[in-house]
Amino acid sequence: MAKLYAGMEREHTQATDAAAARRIRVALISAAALVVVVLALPILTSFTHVLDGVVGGISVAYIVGFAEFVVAMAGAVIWCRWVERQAARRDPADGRAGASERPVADRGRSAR
Amino acid sequence: MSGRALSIVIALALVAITVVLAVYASRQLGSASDHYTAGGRLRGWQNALALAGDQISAGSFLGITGAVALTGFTGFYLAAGLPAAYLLILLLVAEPLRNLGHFTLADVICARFEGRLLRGTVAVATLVISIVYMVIQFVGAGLVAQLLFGIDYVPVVIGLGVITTLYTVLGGMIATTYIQMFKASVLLVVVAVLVVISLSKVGFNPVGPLLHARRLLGDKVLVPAHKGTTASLENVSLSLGLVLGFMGLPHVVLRFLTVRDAKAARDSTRIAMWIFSVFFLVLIILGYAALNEVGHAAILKANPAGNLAAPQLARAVGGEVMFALVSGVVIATVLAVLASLAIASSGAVAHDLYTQVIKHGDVPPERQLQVSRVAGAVVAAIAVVIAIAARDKNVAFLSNVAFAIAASSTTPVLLLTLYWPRFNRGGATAAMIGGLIVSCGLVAVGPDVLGGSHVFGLSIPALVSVPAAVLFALAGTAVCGPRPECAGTPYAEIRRRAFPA
Repeated sequence: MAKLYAGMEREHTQATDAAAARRIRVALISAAALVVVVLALPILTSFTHVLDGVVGGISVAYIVGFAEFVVAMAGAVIWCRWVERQAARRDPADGRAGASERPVADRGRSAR
Repeated sequence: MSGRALSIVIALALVAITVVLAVYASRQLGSASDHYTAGGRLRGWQNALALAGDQISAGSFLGITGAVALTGFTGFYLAAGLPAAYLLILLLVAEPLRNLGHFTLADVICARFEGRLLRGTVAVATLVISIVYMVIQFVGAGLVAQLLFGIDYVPVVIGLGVITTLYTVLGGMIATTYIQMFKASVLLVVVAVLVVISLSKVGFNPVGPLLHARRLLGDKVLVPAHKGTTASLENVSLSLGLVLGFMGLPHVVLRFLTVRDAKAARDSTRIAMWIFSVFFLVLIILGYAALNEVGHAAILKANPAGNLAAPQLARAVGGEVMFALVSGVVIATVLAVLASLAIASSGAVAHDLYTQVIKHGDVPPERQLQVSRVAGAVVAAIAVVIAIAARDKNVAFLSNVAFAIAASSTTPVLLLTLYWPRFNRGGATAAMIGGLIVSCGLVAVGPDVLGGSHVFGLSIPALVSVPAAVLFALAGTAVCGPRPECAGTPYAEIRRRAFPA
């Protein structure tokens, strides 16, 4: 029985580590892409003339800048949904509150 | 009653409400955890409003509106990177901070690497960033009060310092959160009224002010300006500092230690992003509305940096009552940001420097709270003294300098602590000290301090200091690598704590 529990524990730890590794990979790749997109605006507007045009009375640079706002806000919504879906998959009994979602006091933080 | 007298009455009424909130919060204060992090009990929407309150400050309201009015698209750089900066926070640090942190930024880093030198260095970085940020708020509020209300600069700055200390001593982080929520709500309502009145002049077309400005002044008010290599590099450096610096700002980090769970950390970031993204987009509209209604020359005459464009617009489109409302709210909003900074810096002194570095952790919670309150008062006094000495200096650049210092010291160390398995204590200490010295040093020899005889050409050093900090981290890790005492807590354990599945 002890061996069975040890095996289950090991399996759980491996699954947990794999989930954390996947999440870290997605977060780092998304963050790197985001930094590139953000720095593209000052680089393109300062060093080139590609965003100097005017469309419908608004400059292209502003349209690209506003698009950055939309991308960031949409990115936040997509990320939150993805993380919550992952949590629900790991803890189907309570999709809203996996181990990482529990209140602070329940996790011994009050003793610090 | 004149517009100026009404402004003072409104400002005093708002300040009185914040003091009442601080007194109310003081009744809920029971432990050190309550004082530093509101007991880690805040809901997502509460922290979202407080987080948004940190961003929709008097500085951004006055600064971005004025910069857009005077410089057009160049002013937009001040706002463009902010939503992305918060998305980076959401992706990379929001939940790990909440899962690893206790009371301060140093707690998060020292969850992996124990060491008094490292903790002390993080505390010093926290103090430097917070004091720089506080000085900006004091100087900005002093000048605005002087210009708008005709009150002398020194009494205003000292008065703000006293009220900030009162908030910290009375209600700690709980009071700060309530005040931020209140201030964010009031500022949002006032700005919403101002934008509706402004848009009524252009048929309620949201981009009407931009189109009108183009009709009056041509394409140059909308398209990016090209001012040579140094100015272009400055724009890139500003954006880099802004986008990376936010996640290293101690008072922003502290906000993620106040929430009850990981979901609340995510929700608060997402909701705050929505609030201040809309707010910053509205500021672009207000900037062009100010240019149309007030005029470039009048804005420039009132303040060379354009900081009074928003109150001037309020007077032009809404009369004395609107002017009084905007001016009064501006002063009240400064106090809320100051309170956040005071909590972050007093925690760094009391919890990190005094309790952990000097007393090796052997301090009762009551004593720590006492030291924290005294530290809050001392830090505020130091910032007040610097602000009084710097009253005639151009401090507008300082907020971006604060971002650059954070991007070059706390941010790289925080990110590498959370994500690089081979990172060690030597790398963390080297990056923190090296990044801090390089960023502060480059500012000291830059054009904003030395003027025409500058040694370094950029006002905002992030473009050089961020890569330098990363190099310090790599070098420190390589030098310290083989020694077991440098390794700290195994990375696998930190990862399980930071990203529990």
